[in-house]
Amino acid sequence: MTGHRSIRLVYENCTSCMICVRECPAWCIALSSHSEPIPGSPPGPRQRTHNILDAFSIDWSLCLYCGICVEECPFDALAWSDELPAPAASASGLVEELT
Amino acid sequence: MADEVRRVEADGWHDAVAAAVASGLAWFDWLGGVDEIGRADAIRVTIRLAASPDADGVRLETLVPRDGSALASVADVVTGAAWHEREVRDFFGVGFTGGDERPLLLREGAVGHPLRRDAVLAARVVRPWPGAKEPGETVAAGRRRMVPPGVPNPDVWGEREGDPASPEEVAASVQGGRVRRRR
Repeated sequence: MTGHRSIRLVYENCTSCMICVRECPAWCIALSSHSEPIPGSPPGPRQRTHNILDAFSIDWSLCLYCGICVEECPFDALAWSDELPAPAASASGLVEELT
Repeated sequence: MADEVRRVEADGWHDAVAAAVASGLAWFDWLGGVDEIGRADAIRVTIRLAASPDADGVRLETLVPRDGSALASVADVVTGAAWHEREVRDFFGVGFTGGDERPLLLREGAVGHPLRRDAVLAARVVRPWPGAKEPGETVAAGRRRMVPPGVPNPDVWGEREGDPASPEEVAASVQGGRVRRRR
């Protein structure tokens, strides 16, 4: 059984669609991405691109553990985890970069 | 399990509640408010009463104008409603004549009523929203702006010139989402 102690990122599934960031009621998720041409796609002015996730962080000092991001993610890139977030001496230390 | 809903006039609110309690609906569940802006210029106040906690209940509803009108307090017949009335006064700005005037959940001297639909979450207007970025953007380019729920379109509130927007316009604008291109 999976615990509800923190939320983990399944990097391969994330498409940087921003849905979790926008749905989060506590504004605790930050995501940064850029788009790159799909390798092997025909070049041209309208070459197909895909988004590459650069950074994904959750601020555990703000997170409500409501699970809305886990529910909303259309690609199952967020999941509940059994591991507690690492303790920190200050609120700013609770921002965790997920990989 | 469906509640009977009785709509009453604001003048007859106290008498209607007292009559319902006298008819045997002596168990008080809750009293709350709903901002009806967009449908009516009023706050709907609802009280739910039942004969027992498990029985089907009766909801009495009335519309109180949003301009700070007052309703007669029912705390003399339903003692437990006193706290709920204070909460509705805090959150919706509905007065209850003959009730407890002290704020329950807001601090003394707080400005505004946070559950009115035209209440703007000012702290969120000021703070940058992480969701403003588009997928694939490293920084928010701001071409097609998104605003979070609780923050109105800047054309309606904040950057607007001239007369301030009406409460209806602000309430319709705080749903969040894509902001229309500025003309």
